[in-house]
Amino acid sequence: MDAATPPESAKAEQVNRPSIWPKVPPTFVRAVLSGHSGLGLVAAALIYIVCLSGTVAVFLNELKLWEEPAAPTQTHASPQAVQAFAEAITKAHPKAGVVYMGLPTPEMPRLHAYVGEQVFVADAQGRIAGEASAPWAHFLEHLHIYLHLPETVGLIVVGLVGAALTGLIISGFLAHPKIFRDAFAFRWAGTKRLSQADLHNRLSVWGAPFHLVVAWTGAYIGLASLLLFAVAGVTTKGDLAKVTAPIYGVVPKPDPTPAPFPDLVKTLAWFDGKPELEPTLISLTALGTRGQLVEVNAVLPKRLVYAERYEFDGQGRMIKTLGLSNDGLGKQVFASSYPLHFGSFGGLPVKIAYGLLGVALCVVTSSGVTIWLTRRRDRGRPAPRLEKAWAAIVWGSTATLALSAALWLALKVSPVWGFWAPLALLIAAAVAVKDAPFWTVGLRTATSVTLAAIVVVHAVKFGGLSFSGVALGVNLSLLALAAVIAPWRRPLDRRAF
Amino acid sequence: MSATVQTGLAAAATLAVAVGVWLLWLAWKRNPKPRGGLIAGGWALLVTAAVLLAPWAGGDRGVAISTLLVAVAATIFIVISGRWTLPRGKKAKPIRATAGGAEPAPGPASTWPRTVAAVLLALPVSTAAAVAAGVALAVWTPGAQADKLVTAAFGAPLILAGAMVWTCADRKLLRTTLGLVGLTTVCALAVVLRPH
Repeated sequence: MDAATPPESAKAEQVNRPSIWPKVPPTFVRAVLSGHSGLGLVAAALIYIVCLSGTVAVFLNELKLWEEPAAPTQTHASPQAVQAFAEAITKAHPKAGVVYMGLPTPEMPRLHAYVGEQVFVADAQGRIAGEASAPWAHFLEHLHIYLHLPETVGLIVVGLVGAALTGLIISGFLAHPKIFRDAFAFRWAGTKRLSQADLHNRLSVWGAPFHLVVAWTGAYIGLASLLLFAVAGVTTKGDLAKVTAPIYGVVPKPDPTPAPFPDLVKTLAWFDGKPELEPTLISLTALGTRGQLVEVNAVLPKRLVYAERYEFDGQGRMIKTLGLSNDGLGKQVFASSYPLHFGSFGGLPVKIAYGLLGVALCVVTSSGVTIWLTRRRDRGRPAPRLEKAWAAIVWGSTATLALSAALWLALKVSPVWGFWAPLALLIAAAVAVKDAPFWTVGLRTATSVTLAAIVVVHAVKFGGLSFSGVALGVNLSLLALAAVIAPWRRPLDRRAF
Repeated sequence: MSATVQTGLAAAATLAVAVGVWLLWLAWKRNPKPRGGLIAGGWALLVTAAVLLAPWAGGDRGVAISTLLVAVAATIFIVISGRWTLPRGKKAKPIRATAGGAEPAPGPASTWPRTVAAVLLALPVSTAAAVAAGVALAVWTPGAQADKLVTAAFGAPLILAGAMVWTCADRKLLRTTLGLVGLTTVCALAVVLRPH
């Protein structure tokens, strides 16, 4: 019986009816719990940083609009403007192999084009209005997907983190056979270990479908490249394109013979009278050559798949569809995994739910390590340096993530340095001096102050643009976060238990 | 189906989620009294919510959205019924919960050399086994080529996740080593001996 369970419950427990849950052998539970703890400790820091950055990255489009509020927006782009923009971009960047053109959508109301890592936006006539690459949002995206490592290595490392998280979620349920029976029990006012265990277990139970889907799809996205290389090595003598052709389609052979620029007006006209298809992205490959390829992604509003892809010839005639929405279960699962991972299948309400459940996953990760540390302390074997380091990782990464945004907006300091260098210093300082509560309270305060500072810097830099549209929503959210994170109340005196 | 009817069904689905979670919460509160009806009713309403959402959101999207709704609704019930303050000077509010959890068994990382071995088993050796199993799945899974690839791409991370947990749990390093090397070998043989 734990310290905070009242005597009434103890009596109730004794006369409890047989559980509807199958009995699990205690030795199995203890062994799985050992694996759960061990794996969690090894991977916790990386899991936490990937989850934190992923939670913020759910709102990537909103952050891009917030970071570049002066760039022109439009709710609809005429086909003529799209044609003009494509030609202008190709003329300005003739060596760009592939150009991706984003059409205005409610979530990203801009006609924009990706050329490498640069993003250009168009005005209503399709003229290049300027660059809106949103470097901080780009930094955030790379932090989540690559941890700022070289891309292939980073993707695999993040995939391993996803696999570890998947293992932790599954082993967590195997190691806690009573977790469903106690699905609503939450005792924040209890011993530290009890409150953290309740927090960990309750958020784990109800967030489980989301957590498992995000972790599993994350592992899949990260490790797919490694697996595809292996499959290609075994089955197609290393020809990766041949392996991926059933999913991504056949890549045509390059033919540099000059050819007329594709007719995007006719291409987009194919979607007229098809209200169930909303074209959102055009990918243009090897433009102005005979080997050119025009592909259009169209969103199907009531489907989980991210889009259906249509291939067109230079005259705007539709040649074929890729079949992401209807050609077999495999393709549909593949095309559904990205919206499920990034929370992009239901507009802002789904994003907010993803944001909240993402915070829950961060809390589950944080409390998992705290439970282990508290157990050690309760047994008379405290690990004060680890406690301080963990406090610095949990609250230091939130503080330095906010700091990287403030420094980028104010002084154009590289966000990569603005995030990692202070975080490393904070962890080193935390290990060396003071105690864990000092660092927790101090870094919560620092996070709160820095979030508020971001809003001030944004307002000074962009003036009235900070107080309208999406930028206003983001700024108000940042201020709300600052208020929630600030350590207003003294921690509970848990010595009473 | 008109937009009004679809929106009405979506609203009904939201209500079904709220009532379904409430019934499950009541069942949790009532334990050890009979509560099978509450549990069955709660889950039935949650399933019904996913069905009701389908006309408005689509089948697969409806399931995903209703699952999110359940998570949010349950969290609200937990927050409402949780114990947040110290019960100073008065009787503690009873919170139904079973006795404390188990203690973990000693893991494999008892010394530095064993820790290094366990980490090597959990990362490169497990990854190699998972990739080998993934390639075998890509080769042997029946069906279209896309189905084979997707099964492999989703299967390999699950195998890796299981291998990571196993290598962090099992004190017998030789057993985990043999298990993972054996899995890799069997999968490699399955790939090599596939019909061409």
